[in-house]
Amino acid sequence: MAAYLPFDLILVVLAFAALLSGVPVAVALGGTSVMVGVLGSLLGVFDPVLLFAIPARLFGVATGNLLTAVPLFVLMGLVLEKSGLVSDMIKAVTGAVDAQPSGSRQTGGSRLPIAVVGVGLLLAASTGIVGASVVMLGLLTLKPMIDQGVPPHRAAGVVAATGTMGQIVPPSIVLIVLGDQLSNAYRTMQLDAGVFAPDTVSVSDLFAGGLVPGVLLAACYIVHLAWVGRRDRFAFLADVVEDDTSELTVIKQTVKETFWYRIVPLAAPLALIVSVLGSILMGLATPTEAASVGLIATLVLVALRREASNRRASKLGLLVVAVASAAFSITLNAPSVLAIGLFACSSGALLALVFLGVQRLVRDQQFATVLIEAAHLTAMIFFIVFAASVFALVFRGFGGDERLTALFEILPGGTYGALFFVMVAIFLLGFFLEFLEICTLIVPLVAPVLLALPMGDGSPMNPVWLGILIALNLQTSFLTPPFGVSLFYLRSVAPAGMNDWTLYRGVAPFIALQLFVLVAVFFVPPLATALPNWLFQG
Amino acid sequence: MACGLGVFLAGAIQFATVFLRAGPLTAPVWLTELATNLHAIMIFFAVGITLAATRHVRLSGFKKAGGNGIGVRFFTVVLAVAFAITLALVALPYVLASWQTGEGSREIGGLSGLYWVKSGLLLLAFGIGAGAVVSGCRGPKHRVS
Repeated sequence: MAAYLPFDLILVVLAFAALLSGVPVAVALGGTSVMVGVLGSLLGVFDPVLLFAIPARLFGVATGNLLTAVPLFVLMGLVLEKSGLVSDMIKAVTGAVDAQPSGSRQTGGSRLPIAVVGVGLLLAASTGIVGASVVMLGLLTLKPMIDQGVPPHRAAGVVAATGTMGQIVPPSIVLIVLGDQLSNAYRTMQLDAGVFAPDTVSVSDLFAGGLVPGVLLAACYIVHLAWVGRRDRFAFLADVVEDDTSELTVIKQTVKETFWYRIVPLAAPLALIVSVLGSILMGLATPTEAASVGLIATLVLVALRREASNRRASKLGLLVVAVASAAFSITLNAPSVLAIGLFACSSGALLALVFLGVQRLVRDQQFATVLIEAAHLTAMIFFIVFAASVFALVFRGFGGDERLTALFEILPGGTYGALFFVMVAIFLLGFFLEFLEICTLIVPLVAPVLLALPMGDGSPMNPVWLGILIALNLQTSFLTPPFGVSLFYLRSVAPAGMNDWTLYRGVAPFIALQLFVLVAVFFVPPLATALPNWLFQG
Repeated sequence: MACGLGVFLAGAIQFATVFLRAGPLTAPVWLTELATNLHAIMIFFAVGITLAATRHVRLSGFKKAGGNGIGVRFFTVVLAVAFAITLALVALPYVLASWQTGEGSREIGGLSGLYWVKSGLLLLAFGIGAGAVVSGCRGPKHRVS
């Protein structure tokens, strides 16, 4: 009789019941999986040998090269946030816009919201942590936007939408976890199809694939804001604000101040983005190696951060970086004893700057906070990946993947129907599941089946395209009321008078724009696949 | 804090390998493996601590439904202990086999003593069980990441 019980469905139902009851996600997934697996073994419907595969799988996850990048990017994002570099960047942009000459500030204008989108794009490309981006942007830009006459709902919408760009713009933690899961799914699909020398899909592919849709999304936001800002300006043409203090500020700003407080705070994250993304996209470093470069570069930026009490140290630091970079270039071009000596000197200088960066974090009592937060976040992510790995193993052990294949085959619309069904399911699940649960729980179950389905021209589905569609979908659902995670973050820092309906009204046009980009990528796959093909296969 | 420091050190070592490879020297295999192994040990160690500190993520959309009730705590402990016991039972032969063969790196110039790292799986199992019991006794606070 036990053989007729749908244990795969029982497992899914029990896991979701445990999740909804409030049990920690990893415990819910891992606990229900082993309990149902052991029960199945006792009843003779589950091969117990599969349970003995668990340690090797977990060890593989913990020592895998790919996910090692996660803690390093988490550390990098936390150091950027806690050191004040992110707030410097936001202040530099909003301050520059705020300090326009007299008469240029207009009620309801679009300049500041567009600047916030620009900052959000930089934040997404440098930290990749959505919660931190939304909170920082909310704290530092909501009030200035409202003060400049931007309607509160629009200001809230800009912050919530811009903050979620970290989901799709590399280096995104979502894309790393998704890349790991898709890579496993792609290999499984090929092995199931009898391909014993399977192709791979890497995180670098997904990073490159996410770049164009991410920039397209930011461009859509900017066009939308410029359009509604223009409309508002006509409506409030008589309300041009005369602001003498702004003019005074501009006059008082010397070239020196502009350099330290406007250019350096913006150049720093740009340099970081170039060093991290550039090294990955040019194939010079793996994502993990690039993450370590990003972490060290962030600490150097902390050391160079301009502070009133430490101007001389900052100048000296910049000089050291310039000399070390020159020495390093000479070393690469002419390997000799002298070159090795220069290399050693530049290494020493770099070490000194990293030490100075750490020392500044320690002095500001942020170093311990950063380490503890990073350890907790990393442990949480890995525990969920461990548990989801066990869940997928047990689910497949009960033949759940075959049931899914059968389900997709009876859906109308063939491959596109199945993909549409999965996308709708992920969108709905995104209302109350975190990205981690979806990436580690849903993707391993549906991706091998989806990737095996033929496209219209008979070719197999592109895993990068699928990954970017899922990432865009997740981003949209995280913005959608009432459970959008981004809205929870924003609500925690929103001004007292801003109620839920204001937030919902504000994010509505941005959700429409995100859906537009999602549909565009769905119908025009090269938007996601052309860049990785060109960079890594062309 | 120690786990975070370990992750930080793993990052620094990873960077050292990139830096050495980019310069006139070559990064030894053992250095790369040191970063990976350090990372794995820190993860095995930190999972239990994070669970004990009630920092693991729960469903954010159902905060009120989740609650801090004794039922949730009970199920958390039961499921975590079941997972921990199963993991310990299946990991024990895996770890013992590694110790018996004195397993080391498969790469030339790699680190020996891989069995120590694999033993971390038992630490993970113990950490999950103990962390869940500590968390259950304390009473969970919601953590929405």
